[in-house]
Amino acid sequence: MANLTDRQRKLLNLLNEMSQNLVTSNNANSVNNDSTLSHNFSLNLPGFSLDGGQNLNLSLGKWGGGGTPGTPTTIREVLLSLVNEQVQVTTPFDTISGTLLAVQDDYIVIIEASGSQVLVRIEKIEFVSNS
Amino acid sequence: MFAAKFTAELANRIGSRVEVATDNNLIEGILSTVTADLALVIDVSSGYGGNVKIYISVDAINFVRFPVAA
Repeated sequence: MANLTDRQRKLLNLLNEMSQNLVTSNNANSVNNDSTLSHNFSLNLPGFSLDGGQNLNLSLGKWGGGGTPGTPTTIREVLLSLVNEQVQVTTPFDTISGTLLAVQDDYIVIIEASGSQVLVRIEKIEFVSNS
Repeated sequence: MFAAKFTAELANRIGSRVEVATDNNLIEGILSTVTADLALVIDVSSGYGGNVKIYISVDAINFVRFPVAA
């Protein structure tokens, strides 16, 4: 907590209070069945996720929040790290295997074992593996 | 070496023999015209000298293969 700014500390306190309130209202619900709140509401604190599926980018310093440095965030970044290597690129139609020659703005160039050049649109790539 | 954009690179290769793959189809022919949204391939493989024109939406293209000449 020592490295947190005042705003971050307040935010965490607010979140703590919210979680406690939710737990209390859950308890209250078990007594008072007239409440419109769901009885089955569960709060999963151990795996506590602040962002709830959205990237809030809270920048909690040493706690992370910005992802591990060096970890690619887009398929294009993955491809850029594989230039001149053997790759398998899968699109809805087929999988293309060969040497990744270049990664451009919206497509990549692969040379297949047969010598054929293939231009693959990055938008259509489902997954990439380093074969 | 290669153009930055997919359509620009295709435009540089007009006249080449191509195999164009969409999600469900593979179209073989000669790359004839390329615009920002469309690629025109002349299908010469169907025989009968028909030279069928196939307009392909660039957005639908998975990949374009340029086979080495046999």
